[in-house]
This record gives sequence, C-alpha cells and structure tokens, in this order.
Amino acid sequence: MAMKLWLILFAAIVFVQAYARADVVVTTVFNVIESKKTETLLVLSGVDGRVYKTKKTSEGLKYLKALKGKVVTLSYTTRGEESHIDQIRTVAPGEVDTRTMDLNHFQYNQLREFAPTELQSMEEANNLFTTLLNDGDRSRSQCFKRAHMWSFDMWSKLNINSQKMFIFYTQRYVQLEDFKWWFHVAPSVVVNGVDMVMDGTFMEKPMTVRAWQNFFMKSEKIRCPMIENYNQYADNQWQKLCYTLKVPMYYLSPLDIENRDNKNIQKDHWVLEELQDARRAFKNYLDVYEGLDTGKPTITY
Amino acid sequence: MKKLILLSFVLSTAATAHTIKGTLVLKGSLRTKVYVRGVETTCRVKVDKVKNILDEDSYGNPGYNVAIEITLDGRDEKRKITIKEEQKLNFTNFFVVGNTVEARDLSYIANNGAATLSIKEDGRLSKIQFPAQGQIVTCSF
Repeated sequence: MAMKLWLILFAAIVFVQAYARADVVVTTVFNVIESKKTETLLVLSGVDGRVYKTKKTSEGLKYLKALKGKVVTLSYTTRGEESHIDQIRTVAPGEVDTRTMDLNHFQYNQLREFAPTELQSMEEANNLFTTLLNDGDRSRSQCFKRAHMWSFDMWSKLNINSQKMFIFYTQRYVQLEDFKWWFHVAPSVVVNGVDMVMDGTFMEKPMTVRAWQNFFMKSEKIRCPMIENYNQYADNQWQKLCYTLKVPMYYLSPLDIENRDNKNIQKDHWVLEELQDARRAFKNYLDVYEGLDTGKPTITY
Repeated sequence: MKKLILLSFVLSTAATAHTIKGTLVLKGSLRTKVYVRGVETTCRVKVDKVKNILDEDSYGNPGYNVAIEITLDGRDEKRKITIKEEQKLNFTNFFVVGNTVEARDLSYIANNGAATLSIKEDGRLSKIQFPAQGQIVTCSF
C-alpha cells in the first residue's frame, strides 16, 4: 500500500515536471489588466503578444502597472496553455540593448523589417491550419476580424509571421453580379516560396492563391491580378473583375492599405484596440482572448 | 539605337492595344426611324441585361454579355405593307481573331454571328445592324 502511494506520488511529480516548463523572456510590458473571471492579473507582453498571469494582489497590481511601457525580464512557468509569472523585474542598465532588440510589437518601430516566415513543408502548413480557431459560425463575424485573430495567433503562439491576402472585387463585378462583398481576406503563409492561403472559414486546408481565388470568383477562368498599391484597384474598376493584394499581417482592413498608399501611414505593429474588437469574431473570445483588452470600451472597426 | 527605340515603341503600343477600358453598355431603350422595304419604320432597341462573361480573352480582359430586344414597327397604307418584327439577341464583345480571342470596348457581335452592335465611349448605343425582312437593317442613334 505504501509502495503504491509512493509510486503514485512519483508519477505525479514526473507528470507535473513534464507538464510545467520554466522559461525567461525579455519584453516590454504593454498592458496590465485584472481578470474578470479569476483572481489573476494579466500581463500582455510586447515582444511576443502572449499573456502572462499572476495571482491578483493590490501590491502586485500596483507594481505591475508601474511596469507598463518598461522593458522587463519575466520568468515564467507554462502549464498547459497558460504561462504564470514567477518573477518580473525591470532590466538593469546595460543588461539589454533596447536600441537593437525589438521588444514591443504593439508600437511602431521604423527599424522593424517585416519578413514572412518560410515554412518548410506542406505538412507544417497543414498542421498550422488545424490550429486556426473556428467556431463554425461565419455569420457572426467579418472576414477581416477572423483573419486578424488567426494572424495574431500564428505570431503569438507559434512565432510565425503571416501575411494578409486580400481579394478586391471591382465595381464591375459587384454591380453586374449583384454581389454583396467588395473584398475578402485571409492570412497566408509562405511554403517553399509559394503563398498558401489559410482561410479557416471557407476552406478545409491551405490553398494556393489561384485555387482560393477560383473559389471566390466561382470561375477558374478569371485571374485577379496581384497589385502592389490600393489605387491600382480603386482607379481601375471596369477593366478587371477583381484584384489581389498582399500585405503584412498587421494590416487589419482595406482602410489600412489605403492609408499606407495615400497617406504613407505604414503599419508594422499590432494595435490592441483592434485586437480587442477583432477577438469578438469567435464565440468564446472572452475565454480565449481575455488578455487582449485595453480596459476601455471596445471600438468597433 | 534608332531601331531599338522604334521596336520598343511598337511593342509598348501593341501591349496597350490589348488592354481595354471595360466600357459598360448602358441599360435602357432607344428608338429611331429607318426604312425597311421602303416603309418608314420605328426601330426600338432595348438593352435589357448586361452581365460579365466569367472568362477572359487571350490578353486577360474579361468580357460582357448583353441581352437586347429589337422591335420594328411600320406601315405603308398605300402599298399595304406592314413591317412588324421582334428579335431577342445576345451579344458579346469577344471576337475570334485568328487563333486568339479579343475583347473589344465599343464593338459587339451577336451569338448567332449575324448582327453587330456599336456603342459610344459613354456606353450608349450607337448603331445596331441585323438581318430582318430580307435585308440588313441598320438602326443608328
């Protein structure tokens, strides 16, 4: 009996050790909020977009709020899907070169050069596709918000830089086909040099851009030329039926692209207000994305 | 050098000639007077439906399908001749030129190959030609 108990205890310790994993990250504390569901504080990390949790105390809240915007060393233990803070402190002078390290992806950084992650195989892309959150109810959400959360998840959970693939339908198509959309968007990843679209709502696997276009144009005979600038679409509404445009993952909607091309407003960072709104694309967003909250009312984009 | 410049000009001109504006045929009705078998006749043309051809010509231009209703209405009391004709035709702006298909901005041909249609730069009908009453009738607007 005693032996049995010892064996159970040993197995439990081994299990916990395997299940829990300790690590350290240098990051910028971007936001701190109090959980509405549990007695925890949620720290949104700028370097990786992850939410780190700690037990809620008034001193802890005061300490963490004072760290907002500061570069910190954060030690944590991961148990399952959650990361719990073991220790968090500001970095000592000279400990980290904040000029060269990119520690806050919620802030514009003119030195940041976006490069899409290159996946090595279709198997990797297929596995990635299965991680996309999908509650199967496309009527409750808009494509650009779903795409934004999928891109954010790929980046924050798997460190994958995706892009956004837009199809723009021209006035010619919308008017004559009596079509209700003027654009559609989904994230895309690069697999051995080829763009593969990860449309978790309408597709069952990663698709080439051409195959994805064919589905949405309801024809294999129509090409949606790839354009670099929004005005190539805006100024040519009758020559073609559609256009395709690819942008970095941070671009939420066509308005962002228009601002880039007409006002030179580059977007190389996540915007927490946008994520707070976009997360509502999924039914259980308050469980999954509790940490993506500014603490202020949600702005609808 | 001069030959190179000339070649570049010719090539660029050829490339732009295969890109069309995609002028939309305007829907609506028009009427005009024509003489058919010597009878003054009212020619009414109604552009009913305009749809995209979900296909491209050999140069990547999409095309249009246009559904047209034509009526001819005339009477010569003296010679006791009545002109009454009604045709429904579908037109396309895809033309077969050799072994290529070419979309044209301002010209259309009926699917039966027997009638042609021209439009103006603003999409309004300019002229329609079709066989009727044993002759080629041309209605100009």
